Amino acid sequence: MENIFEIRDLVLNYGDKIALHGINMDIEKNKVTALIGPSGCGKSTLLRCLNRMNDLIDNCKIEGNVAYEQEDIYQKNFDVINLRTKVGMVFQKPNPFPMSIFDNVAYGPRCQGVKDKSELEKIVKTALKNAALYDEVKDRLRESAMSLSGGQQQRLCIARTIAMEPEVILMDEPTSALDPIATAKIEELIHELKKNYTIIIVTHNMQQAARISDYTAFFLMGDLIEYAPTDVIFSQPRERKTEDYITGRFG
Amino acid sequence: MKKNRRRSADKAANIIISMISMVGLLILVTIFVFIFQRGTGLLSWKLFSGNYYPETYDTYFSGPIDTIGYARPADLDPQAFYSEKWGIALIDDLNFEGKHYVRIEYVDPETPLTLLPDKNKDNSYSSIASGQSLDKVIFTDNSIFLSKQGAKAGIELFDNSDGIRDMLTTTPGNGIRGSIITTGYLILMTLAIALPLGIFSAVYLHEFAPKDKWYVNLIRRFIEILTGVPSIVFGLLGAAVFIPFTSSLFGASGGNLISGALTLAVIVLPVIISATEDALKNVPDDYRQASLALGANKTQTTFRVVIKSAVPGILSATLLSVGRIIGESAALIYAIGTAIKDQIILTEKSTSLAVFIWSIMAGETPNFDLACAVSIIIMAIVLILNFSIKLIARRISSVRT
Amino acid sequence: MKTITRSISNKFRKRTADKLANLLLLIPTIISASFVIFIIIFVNERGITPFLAARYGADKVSLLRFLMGTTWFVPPNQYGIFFIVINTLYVVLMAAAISVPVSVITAMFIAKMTNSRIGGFFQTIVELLAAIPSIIYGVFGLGIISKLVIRIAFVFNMQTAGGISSLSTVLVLAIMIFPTITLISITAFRSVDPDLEKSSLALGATKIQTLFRVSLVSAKSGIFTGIILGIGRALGEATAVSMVAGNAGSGPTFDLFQTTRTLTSTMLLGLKETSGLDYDIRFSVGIVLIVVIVCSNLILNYIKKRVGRFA
Repeated sequence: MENIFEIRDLVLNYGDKIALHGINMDIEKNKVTALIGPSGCGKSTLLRCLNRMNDLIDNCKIEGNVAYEQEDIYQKNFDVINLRTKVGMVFQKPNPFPMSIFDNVAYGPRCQGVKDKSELEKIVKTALKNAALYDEVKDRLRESAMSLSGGQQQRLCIARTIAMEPEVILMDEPTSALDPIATAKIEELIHELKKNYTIIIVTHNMQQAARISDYTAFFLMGDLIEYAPTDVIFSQPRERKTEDYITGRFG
Repeated sequence: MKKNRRRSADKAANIIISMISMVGLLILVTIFVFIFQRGTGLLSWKLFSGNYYPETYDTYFSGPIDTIGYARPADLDPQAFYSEKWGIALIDDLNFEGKHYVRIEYVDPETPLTLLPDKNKDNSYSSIASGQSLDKVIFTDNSIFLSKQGAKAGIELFDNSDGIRDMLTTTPGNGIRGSIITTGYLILMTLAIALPLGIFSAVYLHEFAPKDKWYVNLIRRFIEILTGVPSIVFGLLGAAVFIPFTSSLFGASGGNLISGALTLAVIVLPVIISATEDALKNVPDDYRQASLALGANKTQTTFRVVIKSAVPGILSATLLSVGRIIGESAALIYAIGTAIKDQIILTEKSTSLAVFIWSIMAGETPNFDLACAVSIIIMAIVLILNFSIKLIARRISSVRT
Repeated sequence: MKTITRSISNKFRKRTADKLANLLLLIPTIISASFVIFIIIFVNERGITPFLAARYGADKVSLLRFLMGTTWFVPPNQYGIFFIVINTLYVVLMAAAISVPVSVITAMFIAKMTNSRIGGFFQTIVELLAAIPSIIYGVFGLGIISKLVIRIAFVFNMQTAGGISSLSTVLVLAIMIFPTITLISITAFRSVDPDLEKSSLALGATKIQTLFRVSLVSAKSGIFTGIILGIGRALGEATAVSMVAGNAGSGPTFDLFQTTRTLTSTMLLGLKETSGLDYDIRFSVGIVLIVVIVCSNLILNYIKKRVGRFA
């Protein structure tokens, strides 16, 4: 039971708006952790802190400590690019590159310098298999990725991320743009993936959080209200606000 | 380590990209420096108001010259030689071809030289003024001055004489007044033709034309094609169609300003049509609905409400067209010709500012300095126009939000 | 009391006004559309005359010699356009080869690698370059570029006719089409879906890798449109080219330091003192120019479709 992320007193503001008010939590390895809460509560913001994607936003200031495998990722001269090869991200809207399916999955490894054809083919095949997409596309790897359905595209994005062999996969509302059947397939996939990866998923769908996650964190207006094993949060929440949210009294 | 190699490759790529992007800046600066360096020397009121062709005056002064004398002005070039008796200063200089001549540098406003009878003009008066070259003087005591003798000798001869039998001076020429007037005429005439033609076409296409009819799409395609035609081909059109047309209609012989304006009108027409259509598209449909709901018909709606809102867009299209007209050269070389004139007549040839540059650069002795001076003027106007267009565009988008 | 008369005649008047407006406005529209037809008809009419015995009798130019010839001398009517077409394509393609990489990289820089203030500054500079009329580029070419070419030729121990050369033409054209390609490429880069770039970064790619492997690839078709427009402009450019190309009587010219002759320079040079056959033949050259532009547009658009199929 080791922690892969340790967050201490994390404060984030955009200009003069404070988005995170001092977050303290530990993320456990090889588990699925869900971040839930109403819109604007800061869950996506927190997610983006974990692979330093917030760096891309102007006048975003961070205080506090985020440790990945005991190392503070916000320290000076930290190798961000390397971090992102270990902490991958899947976005809300499926966004495959305008290239072939093969090239999409091989993109990450190629950027890291992998050139050998047979090696790339192995990586792509493995990633697609682990993303439960291989059987559906194995005959058309050279076709454009845009020819896939929405659900398939999202699994392609997951395959693309897995091809980097990360330790952590961050998912920002990965199924909110998909139909129920595609959603179910992805939830199944997440269940398989957690054997080998740590997954942190932001979702506004509480039932999804209850279905697939081991731990759940509830956020409200930039504060972490409650963080506990999923079955505890959903059956005996400690905080009143948590109970209100889960029972649908607001948000 | 692969990572370090990648990082330095990245840094190198960053630097190379930034340097390549400086090329554009470098080119612009070079062009401006070149033009300003060679052209600013010539910028003066004389440039704008003078004739292009030099005129020779043949004046005389029988005397007597007053003895009061005229004081040497304090700001006179120290290289110039001055006669207090006559109130005239002469200086040696080289013309743009590099040949020596003697120039009149200063003429006192009180001296009789400012108004002398001119044998070349049937004894009506010409004015001796600074900038003219002093070619030859025969004094009443029969002493002769030729320009090769130099300014100093000239002043000595003036000081020793009391009257002038023949004084040949030549105005500097190289003035662009004719070309400025021509450009002005072209702008007015072109807009007078192209604006109504273009605006009404756009109004028809956007407001009145039935959608998805084959002939409407065909018309649109034909107008679109015009934007891809190089300007020299428009010149061919002007030469093949508009010159004979204006010959028969206005009695012009060969190229003339009207055929030029017609050609330019065809060039700017697609710009006006597309900009007007864009402006019409941006008028919210709510306006039209409201007007129709009040019982107005389509014509009233269009002309009273829609077009008014489209005015800023039409204005920028107009400014864009003016810029295009001022800069156009190849088409006018065919549609009018390259003869520089000082007297501008609509049914005769003349040069716009751009064609003027072509004309003075095309011969055996290109006049770089003059070309650069006119280029400065053209660039200044183009810059002001572009700046105004940007202002209008900003106003349109702020009004819309 | 009704203050607004809703009489029947009023309604009728309004409806006829609409019908009248419809008809009246159609007239300027048709006139506007007809200019293209005029160009096609009359330029062709004028341009065919040199080949007609009816017009020029014994002096008429043989169409075959015109299309295949490699010389252009006025007397004794040795007009051949083949080498001129080769020259034109050569010069334009060389100019594109120089200009396209510089333009695309500059556009990438402005659109993606700077903040909005610096980017806006550089974009304004490019817009200024786009606004400079071609005659001024011609003066610049004659004054600076040709002098530069003399120096370059000196380094290579070659002679030039005062800098008037194929290379000067290529350089001037490259400078002239640079703003066109850059501005359109900037728009193409800006319309790339930012999520694509974020995905690439999230996979551990560096910013440069992202720009070249994702942004550039996604902006491909827009950039290609810019290139097509740039090449179209280069093919039709007349005044600037005429001032630095020279008057080569035969060809084609592949040596960069020799004078050359393009379709447009042929149409412009020597215009002051011509009449008759030498004047009419320029219309024939004009026809060839139009054909070349149309063909190159078709070919480039076809290539664009093939390239774009991969997106």
